[in-house]
Amino acid sequence: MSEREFQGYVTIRQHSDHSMFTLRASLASSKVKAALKTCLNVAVPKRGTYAQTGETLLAWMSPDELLIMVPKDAGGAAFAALEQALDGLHYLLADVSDARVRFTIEGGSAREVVAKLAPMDASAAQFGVGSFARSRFAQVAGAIFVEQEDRLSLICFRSVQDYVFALLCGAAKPGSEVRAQS
Amino acid sequence: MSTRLASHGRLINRARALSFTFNGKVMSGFEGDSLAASLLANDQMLMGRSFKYHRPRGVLASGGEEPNALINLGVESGFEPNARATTTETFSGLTAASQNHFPSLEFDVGAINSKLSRFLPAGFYYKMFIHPRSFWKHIYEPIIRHSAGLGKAPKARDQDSYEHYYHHCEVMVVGGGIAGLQAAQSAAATGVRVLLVEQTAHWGGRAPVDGVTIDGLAAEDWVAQTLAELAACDNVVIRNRTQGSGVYDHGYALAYERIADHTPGDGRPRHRLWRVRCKQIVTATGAIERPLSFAGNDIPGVMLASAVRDYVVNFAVSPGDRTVVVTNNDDAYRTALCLLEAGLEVPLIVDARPEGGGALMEAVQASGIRVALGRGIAKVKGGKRVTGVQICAQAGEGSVLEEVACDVVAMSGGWSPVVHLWSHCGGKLIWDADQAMFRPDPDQPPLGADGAGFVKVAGLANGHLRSAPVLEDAAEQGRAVGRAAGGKVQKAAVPAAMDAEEVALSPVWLMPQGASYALRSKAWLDFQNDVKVSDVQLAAQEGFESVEHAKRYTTLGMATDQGKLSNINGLAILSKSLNAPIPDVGTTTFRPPYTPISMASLAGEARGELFQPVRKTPMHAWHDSHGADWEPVGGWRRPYAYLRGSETVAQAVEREVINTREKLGFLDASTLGKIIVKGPDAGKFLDMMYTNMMSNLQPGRCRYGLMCSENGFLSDDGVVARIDEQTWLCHTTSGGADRIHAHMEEWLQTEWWDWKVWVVNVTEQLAQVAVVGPNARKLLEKLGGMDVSAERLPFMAWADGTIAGIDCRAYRISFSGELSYEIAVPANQGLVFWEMLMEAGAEFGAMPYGTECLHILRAEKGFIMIGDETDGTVIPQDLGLSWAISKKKDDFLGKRAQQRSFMDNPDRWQLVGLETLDGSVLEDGAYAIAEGSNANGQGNTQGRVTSTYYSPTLGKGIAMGLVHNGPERMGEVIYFTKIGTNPVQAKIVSPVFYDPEGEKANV
Repeated sequence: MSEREFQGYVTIRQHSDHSMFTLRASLASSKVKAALKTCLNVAVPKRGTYAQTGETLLAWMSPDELLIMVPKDAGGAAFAALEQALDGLHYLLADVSDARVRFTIEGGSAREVVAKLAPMDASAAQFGVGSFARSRFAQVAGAIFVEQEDRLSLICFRSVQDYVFALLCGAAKPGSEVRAQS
Repeated sequence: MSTRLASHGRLINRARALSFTFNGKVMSGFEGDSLAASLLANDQMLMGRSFKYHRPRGVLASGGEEPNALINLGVESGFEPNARATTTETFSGLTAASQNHFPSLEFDVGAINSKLSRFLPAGFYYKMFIHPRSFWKHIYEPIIRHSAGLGKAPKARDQDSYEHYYHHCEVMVVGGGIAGLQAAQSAAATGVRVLLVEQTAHWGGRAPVDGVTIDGLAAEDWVAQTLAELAACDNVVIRNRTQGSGVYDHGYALAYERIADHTPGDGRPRHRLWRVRCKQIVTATGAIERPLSFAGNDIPGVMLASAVRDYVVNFAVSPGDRTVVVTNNDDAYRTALCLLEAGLEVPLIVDARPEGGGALMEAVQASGIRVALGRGIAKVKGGKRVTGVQICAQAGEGSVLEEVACDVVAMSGGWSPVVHLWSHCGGKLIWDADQAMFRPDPDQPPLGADGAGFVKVAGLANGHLRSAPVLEDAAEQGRAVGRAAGGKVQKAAVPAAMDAEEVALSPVWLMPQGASYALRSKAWLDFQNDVKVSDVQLAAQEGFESVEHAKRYTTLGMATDQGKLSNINGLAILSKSLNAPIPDVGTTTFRPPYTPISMASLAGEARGELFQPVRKTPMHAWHDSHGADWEPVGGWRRPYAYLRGSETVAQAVEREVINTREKLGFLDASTLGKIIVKGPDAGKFLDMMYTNMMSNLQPGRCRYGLMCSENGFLSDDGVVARIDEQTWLCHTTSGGADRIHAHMEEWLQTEWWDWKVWVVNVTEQLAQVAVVGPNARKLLEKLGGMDVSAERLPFMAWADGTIAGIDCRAYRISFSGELSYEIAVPANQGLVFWEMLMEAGAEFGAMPYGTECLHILRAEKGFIMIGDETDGTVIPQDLGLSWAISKKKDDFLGKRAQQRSFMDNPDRWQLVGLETLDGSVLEDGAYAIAEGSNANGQGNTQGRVTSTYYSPTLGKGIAMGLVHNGPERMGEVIYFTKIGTNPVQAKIVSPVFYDPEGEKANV
């Protein structure tokens, strides 16, 4: 997957350093929680957030869906370990590493660039570090999370990666600063 | 003449002169000017021509309500028609041109319409263009279209960029006058997030012009101080050049920011549309001065009294040397005082009130200006510029008592609160008879989802005309919205504002009140659309009693200014004509946006390459560089065919079909939907989703399945593979993946929530390639890695493995009738895999093929295509697919619907093959002609073509179609329509044209 970068008034960068899995299972289940803890050493996140240990992230997609992000070189082993730990439970684990693309939006105005494209409230007060949300970015679906105060990650489908990259570059175009965060 | 003054000009920077052109003439202005101010400073009072009569028109107002001074702005890719000169900031290099005249602004042949005005009464268009009917389309409409519209339509592609911005806050305050500033400050003090927007470049509204003092400070200083305090608040965002344009349900509001209208080419977006989500809105939108209706009130030089002093105070522009003020209220006396102070002459003030006014009048009289009480203007004299006024008794019919020479008439008929934003979402109005105005009814606000009001109005817009109550009201509304939005109210003193005492106005809707027809037919209500007092009276006389009907009949308030100046005067005339009180007549509906906003701002970033997201497969770039002729399919782009050299598309398709049948073809099938369904109840679930059985499919095997809607109509199809005991993989159509995924989730979440089934859409995780043709197996064996023999991987089986080192899943399925493998690999390896196939396949004659070849291959085999053979009214039984409908199952989606009498019935249009007798290709969608005609005199039909192609394999046209009782009529010849020529004969045949035994796929 191509690694792209655009230097606007924030920096847009494409990343492919993670494997991504979709887990469908009841997140309220203690067995599911235990399996995740055992395999990934990450707790199940609360609604609207993600949880992280090292480079491994669990993101809350819905009451019965998690997005799991594991460093690429550990992806295969993690997938196999999860399959084994969840065996016997009612779950569906699918590798979606190739189906999704991650961009980071980095800089003091990262939230502002998001606010040009997504109807969600991306302000620091409402969407602080550790927050995770699914939203709409112009005309496509996406998920977004706050890694650091000035660094947000956006995940979209691979088929629309060119569109999303162009969207982000347009929104980050120097001269189009809004400077209205309150 | 109008000119620049040596004094005044609070908004201009005389150190920065700007050069611009108007109708090609070079003019100069100052930084801070509005274009209207710059034009006036260059003695350009005449700014445009009216819509209907081409009357010469000058600027009337100083703000967004301006009806006359509309101009063509910019050139070519920066061109915009109907820009208001009053809200356009002058910049160096600005190019403006006046509108709606030929050959020139000064001499316009269209002005002949004015002489013909008695032949162009209200409703003229309705009366004239109705007969004869046949004239409408070819004569009337083209002529009306040609003359419609004031400005020219832009022809070049817009050079600028635009964007949206989603803003969340608790309180939005619209309007940056003293009321808006105070409301924002009071709301912000409660701790909630506040957005304050002001449509102009300047803060403070009218107060600095009208001599208000606040807490001992001049209004201007108080504004600057308050603005600085707001800017220092972390919870406040303030934005000028940003108009609150619309208020919608659920605290949604649109604001329109004009970022770079005054700095074109500086790289910034031109406009930004703020899509605001808030809990509470305060509209502090001020008020608009009403014109007075007297004969000749549209002659250039007649202006609103407030606008006259705006031009003097704000821009140091004198609209003329001698100004007659005509009024029914005290406020207009401020204009006289202002003009006096600027050293200009005011020969007379005409006050329609017999008793006159209060302190302001006394101040004027003390300056030696004559005030004529109980008088009105009978008529304004002049053509392209006012030369004088004829004075009469307001109570009379217009007998001229005296004539006064002047070049400006400053008129004031009182003030109308700007209630638009309050009304957008359902806020109601009450008629305030004392002030002769509609103002918001605080007991009937627009209601939010919780049933409580979410909009409040502050200041002038709320009907408070004096500055002290304006600030008190604003502070109270600001606190109230802060509280309603979750803030904490703290006590704070309200700044005390001071201005001159005023006595009540006297409503004047016609001047003089008994004006003759001749005078009434020159008394303008709607300046832009040329609607006069006489027109509204005629509408009432002809029975248009509803204000909404009278509006449409006369076009009152239907111009680009949406009647900001004309509505109240118009409905007052209507109410008098109907002899009904004004509140009973009511207002027309206020709809967003408040003033026209650019279409481009609504589109935002969605233009050019971002107009619509294009979904691309992993091999997209390869296709693009190998001659792909693209076809949109369900959001994707798929190659229709790959053109080589100078081939036509048809030639390419033919080559691809023959090559695939004879040798080897590759299809990028990555767009096919792929949905994993897993769980203990997955089999039961799929038996409900599909018409046939999926629970008894064995792991390692595939089955073609049909999905119906609950109404029994065929909705989607595809191959289902059973992966393991609890897991199935469902292929959907290319356009259907998201829809079918949602369909499955909906049933699982709303109906069968207790079934243990999980669903994941993995469409984009996999690249899929169909390897098709007699040489398919040879190629895969050459690449090596897995056993693809007929024994290990028979027809309708699948297996996991690797091919040339790439992990894959290979399905022995065929949509072409040939030996075929569909091979899925991780999407990131799709391109590598594809290129490897191309390279290794060269010796076997491999070529990629596109969707049209795919269609022909499947049509030759009689395979149906969702969307061709189906259209939402077709059931599987119509398509000869009864074999795929399980008789064993108790239920599946669509089963009961298919038992309805008209579905469970052979008397339907059913699928057959069609072959023309002459070998030609039938037209897509052509109808089969039946005997006789229906009740409407249309020929009867007995079927239609659903798919039709030239078959390169068979060398003739082939088609499928739905024909009444078709399968029982094999061999019968029927007629199909052909546009523009005689019907075509076609024989009903089996839909399977090629390899009916299926021997070629199963090898």
